[in-house]
Amino acid sequence: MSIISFDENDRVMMFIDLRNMTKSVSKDSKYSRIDFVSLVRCLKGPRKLVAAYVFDSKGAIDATDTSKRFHDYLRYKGFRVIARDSYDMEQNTQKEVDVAMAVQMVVHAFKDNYDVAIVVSGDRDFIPAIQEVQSAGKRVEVAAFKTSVADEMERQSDVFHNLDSEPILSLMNPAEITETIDTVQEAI
Amino acid sequence: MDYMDWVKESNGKFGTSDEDWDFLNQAAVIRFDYDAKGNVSGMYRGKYVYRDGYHELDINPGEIWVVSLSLNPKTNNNYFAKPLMRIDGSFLYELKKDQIDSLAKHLWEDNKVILEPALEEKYKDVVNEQIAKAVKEQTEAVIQEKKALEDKIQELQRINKEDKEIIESKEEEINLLSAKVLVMKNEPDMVAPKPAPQALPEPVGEFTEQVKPPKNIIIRAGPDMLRSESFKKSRYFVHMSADHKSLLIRDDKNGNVVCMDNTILLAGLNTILPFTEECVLPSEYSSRYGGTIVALK
Repeated sequence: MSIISFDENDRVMMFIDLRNMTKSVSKDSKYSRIDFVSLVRCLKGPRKLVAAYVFDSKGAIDATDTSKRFHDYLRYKGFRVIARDSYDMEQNTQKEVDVAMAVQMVVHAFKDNYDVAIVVSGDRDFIPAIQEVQSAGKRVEVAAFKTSVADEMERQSDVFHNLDSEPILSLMNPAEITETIDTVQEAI
Repeated sequence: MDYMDWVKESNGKFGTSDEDWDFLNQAAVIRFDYDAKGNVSGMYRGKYVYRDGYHELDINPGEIWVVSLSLNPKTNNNYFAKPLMRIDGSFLYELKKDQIDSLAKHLWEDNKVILEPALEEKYKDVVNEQIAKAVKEQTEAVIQEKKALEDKIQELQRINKEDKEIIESKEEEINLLSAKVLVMKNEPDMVAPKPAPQALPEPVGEFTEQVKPPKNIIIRAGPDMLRSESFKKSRYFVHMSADHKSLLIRDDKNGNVVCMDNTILLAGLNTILPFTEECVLPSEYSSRYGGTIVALK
């Protein structure tokens, strides 16, 4: 049990590493997908949400434009999507994204734009940024699936949210799945 | 019987005759004792009574006598008494019943002021003791009655509790059987009787919230099918946890899961949780998530 207590007056800012999250549940993607709206609702609780950033790269996987539709969907829902034009087609990896996210975390912390940063990623590359944010007097919570989080990342956080037990995977009717499986689902 | 009647009746005993009537008429009962001068004397109507010195019977101090009185002709200030009969123990023993009663009555009336406090003091303890005894008996009787009533109340309460427990278990059984009937109505092909669903297990700690609406009975009615009387809206959001242990169902007009006839179809549910037979899934309303949490495993 954490010694940290929730305060409803805390200003929460969320930083979501989109690709890290979707990779973690890829095995279930045929029937379910991460509902990022529910994810935000679960993590912020009764606290005030200042902003929810989603970091991704443009041109996912096969370089088709399906990722753009999903980014637009997230923007429509209120997310601030930062999509870097830096996808490495040859190595099938994204570049710049982690740094972009770390910069946003630190900048907003020093501008005192939030009280609590929730990092939705298990990637330990964010540890230096988390330490800087904490040194600025901010609290950092990490949310990730247990199987894809680095131990050091879990230890570094003030509060760790195990996403395995949170109901964030959206299920659908069978008919709806056949209609949408080639669109939104593949985009994720 | 008054004193004079008694004297007349006693004529024979005293050896008197009618000629002696005047003599007897002056008779009185006098108590003799020493006076201030040391003489043996008594008092009658405010005057001293002295012994007749010439009579053969001797009157001693401290004795009570029936005497015949004659006024002293010289002074008219005192009487002389001729003793007739001494009042003593033997006299009292020879009295008849009515005489004793009469005597006791006169004694009581003349000496009530003295006797009453003495008797009261003497018998106070006795009366108090009798009262205490009577009170104790009555108290014990009341206590016994109270104890019997308390035992009866306890017995009735025990029976009442047992009856309530039986009613509760029967109600629970009825609810579960109702749910079972609902399932069978919707799936008429099912013929083989199936065991009644077990009682709902207690919800896990993270789902116990401060506000608890009535529990919803959610039935796994088919491989991808959930059915519940509480599914009354047309659209729902259904979310599952990544560990496949829980399901969150909350109604929303923009929900992506359509509900028809209290039934929700979920793609891939059979893959996540293989269907064996219809059963009641433990569920509970969660204020944190704003919907019903269903335990899958």
